[in-house]
Amino acid sequence: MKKLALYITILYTSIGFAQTVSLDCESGSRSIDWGNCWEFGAISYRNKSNEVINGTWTARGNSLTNSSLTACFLKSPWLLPASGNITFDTRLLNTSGTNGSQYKAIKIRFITHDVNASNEQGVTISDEIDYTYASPYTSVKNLSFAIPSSIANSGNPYKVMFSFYGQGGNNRPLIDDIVIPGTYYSDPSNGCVPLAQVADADNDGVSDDDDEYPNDQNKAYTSYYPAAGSFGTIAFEDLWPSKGDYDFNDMVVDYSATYILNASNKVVETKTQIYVRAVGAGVINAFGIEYPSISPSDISSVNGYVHNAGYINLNANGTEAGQTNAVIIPFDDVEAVINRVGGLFYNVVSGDAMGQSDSLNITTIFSTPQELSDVSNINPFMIKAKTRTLEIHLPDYTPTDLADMAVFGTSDDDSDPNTGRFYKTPENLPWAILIPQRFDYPAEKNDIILTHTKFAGWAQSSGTSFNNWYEDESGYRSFFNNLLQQYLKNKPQGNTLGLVFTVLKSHTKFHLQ
Amino acid sequence: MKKYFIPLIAAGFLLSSCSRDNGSNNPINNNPESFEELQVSNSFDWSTTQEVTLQIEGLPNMLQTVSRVMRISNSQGKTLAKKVIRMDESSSITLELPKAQSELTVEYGTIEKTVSIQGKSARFSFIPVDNKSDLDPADR
Repeated sequence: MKKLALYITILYTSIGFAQTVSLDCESGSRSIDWGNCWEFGAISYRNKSNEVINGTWTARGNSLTNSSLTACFLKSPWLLPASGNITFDTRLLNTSGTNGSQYKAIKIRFITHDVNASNEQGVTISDEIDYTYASPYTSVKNLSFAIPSSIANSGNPYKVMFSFYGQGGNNRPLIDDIVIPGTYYSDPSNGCVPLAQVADADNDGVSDDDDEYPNDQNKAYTSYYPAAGSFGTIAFEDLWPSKGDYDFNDMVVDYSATYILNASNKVVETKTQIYVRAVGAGVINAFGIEYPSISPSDISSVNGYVHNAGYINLNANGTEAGQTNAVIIPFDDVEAVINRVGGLFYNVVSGDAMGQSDSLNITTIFSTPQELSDVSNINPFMIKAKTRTLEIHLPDYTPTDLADMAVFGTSDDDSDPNTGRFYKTPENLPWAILIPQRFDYPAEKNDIILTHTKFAGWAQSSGTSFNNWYEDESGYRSFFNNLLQQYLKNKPQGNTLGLVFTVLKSHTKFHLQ
Repeated sequence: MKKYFIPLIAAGFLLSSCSRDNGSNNPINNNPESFEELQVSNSFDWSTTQEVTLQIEGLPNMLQTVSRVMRISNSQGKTLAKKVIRMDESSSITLELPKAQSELTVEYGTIEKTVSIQGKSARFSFIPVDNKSDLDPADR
């Protein structure tokens, strides 16, 4: 209990509390002062020379034509009042409405704190701090009123409310340079209610309410890619450097990253979840991730990868050896992480039984905390046919140090390392695409432009049209792709549907082969 | 009758989709029938995501430090990123987002705002929006 009490702290400190709370209007924006928990009712900021009292800006009220104390007012932020005087400069804009029974006045009151009241503003204490404007009305008055002894230094938070009221005529109050003895005690991030003591058990500067790891000083919160609980997909064609059939299902990998950061906004650990959705390939491939902004020595350990094939050489920390940048190989043999239930391909042919892959959870712990932008900058790639020197990356992503550079520029590949052009054909066609959500990939031998009807429009417009081509919106999927994907998702039974698939597969072969 | 319906649709699809339209003089074939027929700009990078920088405008003139975790989420309410932010400081967060994403929701304490993405940037301000509804129309 004693230990817990020691760790309870007020986080809203450091620069130190001001000993006065003041409003000089020089921000020129009541929004800024509103953000700092001042409240305004029919009070605007003015910078006309005939209205300014001090400096460049002054607060001006609406015309005072009734005795309401809530029609035209200023309220201070919550503060812990000290002893001393509230001071301010004020005058009227003109002499109108000051004759006979007509008057203009200010009343200063104190608002108590009540957690059960609206905005936690409780009763308003009137201690008869009043001032009625007197002649000469347009001359500046420097007024001063003592904070009542029952309020000063009480330790309780109060707001100070300045109400402007009057009777008759058309005249406005001007007020400037309000100074209230006391300590600022509002929380602008929490609806401007009074500051509250908050617990910070691990003393990392992040309150337990915000801290996802309240008892771990090295961890505070998490960020995600593509979003919490969501996966993106990387889909490959594996015939590089030759063109493929563009069904983008030779290897389909779902990818989700969780970044754990400390209170200094640096990544201390990454958890990457990887799931192979489909394999429409005749060779056995593998999957790697390069971190172009991270060096191998920045990483303390990598766990969760599946290596069975024996051709990946690792450093002691689990990163791949021989690389300048950190490279992690989640699996070196896709067959080791999928569970086939028959068939040459895996989850790409309608009518075949569906397999379930193993979910890989790769944990990377950094030896020194890293910037999120560096850790989230990844370069995923396929290792083709378990040949470590054959890598297939997203278009214009660079190969790693272990790639065989002699393959570039051969067959249909039009890479030019001198210009940073990689993994594109002369027609600028790619071998891999990344989709920022789970991708409904085409079934085997279904060209992506036929299954995803807006893909061609997206590509031929250089991405300016249909940039959500992968979503399942009306008209975005072809008839047969819808059926095939529904089948892949739901595995429906029935001869009629089976006949349709048979017809469509025949059509696909006729059409594309 | 019903049992013939789906096969008929499939057959109709077969018959109607196998002919090429070669009559256009447009150098761009707007209806390519295969991936290899695509005509794409040499500079097209095939990217479905982009880096978006959320610019955060701090609140001036604060009398004390407020520091807490900001949460940024997408339109489905899913968390994208968090960051410890001081309320009085201007800062930024760079996110890798789908190019199709048009807005972000930013939460900080009880403050919650939805901000639109313009190009590769979005802007959040701790300074509240003042609709000035309490003022005379001439003063707004």
